[in-house]
Amino acid sequence: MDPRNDEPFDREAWRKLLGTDTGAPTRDMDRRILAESRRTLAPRVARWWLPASLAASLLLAVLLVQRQLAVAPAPVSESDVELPPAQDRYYDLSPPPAVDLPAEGSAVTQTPAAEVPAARFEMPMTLPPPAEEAPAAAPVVAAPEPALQEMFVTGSRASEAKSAADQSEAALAPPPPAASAVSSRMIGNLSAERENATTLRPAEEWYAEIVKLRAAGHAKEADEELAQFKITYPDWLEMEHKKDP
Amino acid sequence: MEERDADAQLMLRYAAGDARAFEELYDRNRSGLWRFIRRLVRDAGATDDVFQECWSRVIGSRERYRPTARFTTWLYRIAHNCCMDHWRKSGRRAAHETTDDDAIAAAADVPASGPLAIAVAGEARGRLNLALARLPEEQRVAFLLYVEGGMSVAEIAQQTDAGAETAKSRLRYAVARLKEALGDDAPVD
Repeated sequence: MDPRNDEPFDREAWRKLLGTDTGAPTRDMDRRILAESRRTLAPRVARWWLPASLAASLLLAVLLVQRQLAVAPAPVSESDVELPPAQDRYYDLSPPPAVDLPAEGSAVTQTPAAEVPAARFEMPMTLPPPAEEAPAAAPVVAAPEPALQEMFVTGSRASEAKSAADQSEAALAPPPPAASAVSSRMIGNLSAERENATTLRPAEEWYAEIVKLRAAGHAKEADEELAQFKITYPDWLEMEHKKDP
Repeated sequence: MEERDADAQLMLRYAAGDARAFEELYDRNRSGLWRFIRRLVRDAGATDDVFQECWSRVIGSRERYRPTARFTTWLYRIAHNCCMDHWRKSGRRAAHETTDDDAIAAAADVPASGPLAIAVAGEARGRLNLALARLPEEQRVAFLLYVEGGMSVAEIAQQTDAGAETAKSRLRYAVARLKEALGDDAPVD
């Protein structure tokens, strides 16, 4: 035993005695180990390539996505486009029947009512002076007109209308037999017009016909027409009375 | 010492990227390490696996290697750890002395019987290998780390997780048994 504590016995002697004939690794084992040692060194040189390539791929993917989002238009939703409801769209695509309707109903839609206000305000201005009509009051049809005019004219023409009204009073006398036929025809016309509910006659014209009915002695029919007239033009009579107090 | 220092330098060169340095380092230590593992594991089939695993760990540790001790001390420490891992995986740990001559002979690469076996057994080396295979594992490890690995008693104690006196006792008992088996052929201290 070696006197030194750290050397209990001579290791070299025992190593020689153990010898080297116990065996050794095969050459194939040697090749595998040496190949592994070289393989471990190889990636070290290009190790930085991997993270660099991953970073570049990630950056490229982000840029492509951003470009796609910038180029592609936003999807158009129905809420973005103001489209009429499907029913209306269908309605718009087909020839609108309303195109024909105005033509067919033109006679209906072109109501005299649209012209009533204009006619109502124009008539006093277009009416000929009653004095001019007096000489031509021979026909019975024209006779009630002076009475109607009496209600249209303003105060400045009141005197003139009055004279015409005096003349028309004579016209309100029991009509001659020839006038009854005319009044009957007027009644028929009024009835036909009443049946046509879509027709709206001018107030002046309608009232003149009422006056003619009454002058012809058809008080009942005149009252009925007057009732309808008041329903249709509730304020017309009042306004006319204000014009001619 | 100078030769062992050379091994440390070769390892440092390999860590720097010199593949040829490893080739030289491997050539200098391959046989002794293989014998150490062979005698410690006592299994011819497992020796190659443990041997390759040991060098794989050396290669993988090249960047962390620091020459704080002799290279062979570091190398045989890795080899011993690989042997212990092998024992742990195999679930076999021959901690006690075995009396199975056939098993011992097989572990020592010595023919168990026959005229050749007798002739081989008559040689000191054969008897030494048989005696070595019969040693308890702790004593065999300590003896081989000391003789083949070149470790000091303190290094053996550290490697085997034992005290210095325990490591020394194991070496003493191991040498005593080997001398008893060799008789006059035993080395003289």
